[in-house]
Amino acid sequence: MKKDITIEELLSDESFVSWANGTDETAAGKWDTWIEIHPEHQSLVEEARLMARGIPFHDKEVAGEDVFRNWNRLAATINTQKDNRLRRRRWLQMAAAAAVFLLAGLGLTHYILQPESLEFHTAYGETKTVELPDGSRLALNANSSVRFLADWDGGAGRQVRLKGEGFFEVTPQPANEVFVVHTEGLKITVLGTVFNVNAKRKRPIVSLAEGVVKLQAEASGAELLLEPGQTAWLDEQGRAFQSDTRQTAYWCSWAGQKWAFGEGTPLKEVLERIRETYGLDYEVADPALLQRMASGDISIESREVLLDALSILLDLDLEIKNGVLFVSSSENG
Amino acid sequence: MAGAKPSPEDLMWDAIVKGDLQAFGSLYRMLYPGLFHYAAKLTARTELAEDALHDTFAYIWQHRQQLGGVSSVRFYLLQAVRNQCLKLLKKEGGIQSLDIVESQIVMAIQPEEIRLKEESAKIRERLDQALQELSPRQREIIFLKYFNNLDYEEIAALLSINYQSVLNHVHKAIVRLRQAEVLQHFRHEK
Repeated sequence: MKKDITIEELLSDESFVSWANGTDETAAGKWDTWIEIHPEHQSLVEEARLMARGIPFHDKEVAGEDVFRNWNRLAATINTQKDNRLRRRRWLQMAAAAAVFLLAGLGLTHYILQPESLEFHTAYGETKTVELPDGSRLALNANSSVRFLADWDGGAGRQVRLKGEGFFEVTPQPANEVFVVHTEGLKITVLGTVFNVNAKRKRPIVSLAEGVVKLQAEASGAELLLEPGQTAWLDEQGRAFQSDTRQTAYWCSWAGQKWAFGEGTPLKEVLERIRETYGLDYEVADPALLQRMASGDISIESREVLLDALSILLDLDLEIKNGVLFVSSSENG
Repeated sequence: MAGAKPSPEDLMWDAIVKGDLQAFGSLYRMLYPGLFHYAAKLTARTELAEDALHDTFAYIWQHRQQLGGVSSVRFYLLQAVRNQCLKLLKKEGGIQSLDIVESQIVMAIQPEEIRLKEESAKIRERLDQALQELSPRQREIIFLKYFNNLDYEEIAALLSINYQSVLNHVHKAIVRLRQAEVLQHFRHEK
């Protein structure tokens, strides 16, 4: 080893750096000996050693929710970038990316709820607010149930199984925690958001108020990334998605104690809604009545308030006999 | 770096260039903290730092096909984020030139950011004093060297100064910290 040496040379010598950091035993002996032979370089070596050891900064993380928020913002920007002719496809890719990003190694595709689960039910005409283990909230609509594990720290993540209808307000979590809703033939992956799931009809209907939600058809694996304001449902075969932007307010409105019919909702849909909410079958005097359009908002504070308002709104006579709602036009009565 | 085993971020980069959005998400998650803390120090403002990262990553995704290979992804991103921070500061302050923006960088380092063997108000105070006496450029260099783990060549390239100046800055900073009698209180093991 040569006599004259500079700090630069010392710092570019791997064995010197290991010695300085105490990470290499063999290097230690070699450099201890060298210093004994060259005491005139003692202060130079000491300074180089201190530079190699350096300054131990704390490892600094960024709060998961900040990364999440900024990633969502970036995802939105990327989606509007003009260089892509296949925007739809990009959204799907983005969905997969966001999901993977959030899954961060959990690697779960199918998950069966374990015995230690909690279950909540509602009767006809009843709604219930359920607080989930992560602080997310679920408003459970009438005649519905939800099941989930009591402990969400066990590694399986945030998962619920829904029957019927629920309005979810999902709290964003540190980026590795995905929230999944399993329901009739459909898996919904949530990235911190507000949305409604109605799994009472032949096929579940998902409406997104805010945020990002990924839908996956169990039968075909088909995926759709919902944008805010969109409502989507599976086709008859449960394999492909259809979507619409006009009905989202309607589907989400019950959680605010009203039904918002918007521009117009046919009586047929209103009566279906009454059947699934209050367990009331219906009979109409004239099938043409089913096409009458309800518009505006209607309070669902109670069944009676709702039926009174509906009869005035659509000029109907409504009468309940033996658990069946008889519907006729007021003009005839 | 030449001949070294490709790092995970280098492998992700190849996938990103080919349009793999999953890899892009993983890289984002992995490098966000290091980039954010550097940007936050450069701009001294959280929102501006977030904007700089947003712009940088959005640019990378949009131009991924033209970017090709880079020798070190982490270095490339630190450089891109630094440039974007300067641009945003220039625009926001209505400042004439990037040189002026660069001369106004403070790069404050708090004594709490450094690991000590034991907590002592006196040592923290001496450390704070010594850190404040360093020049902004010295603070930026030691942060890049010891927090972001760049090597001397990379720092020289990033700041457009020569290798020997980088070494001199680090040397002077360390000597200053030794004079303040704080170095022996640093806790180096993780």
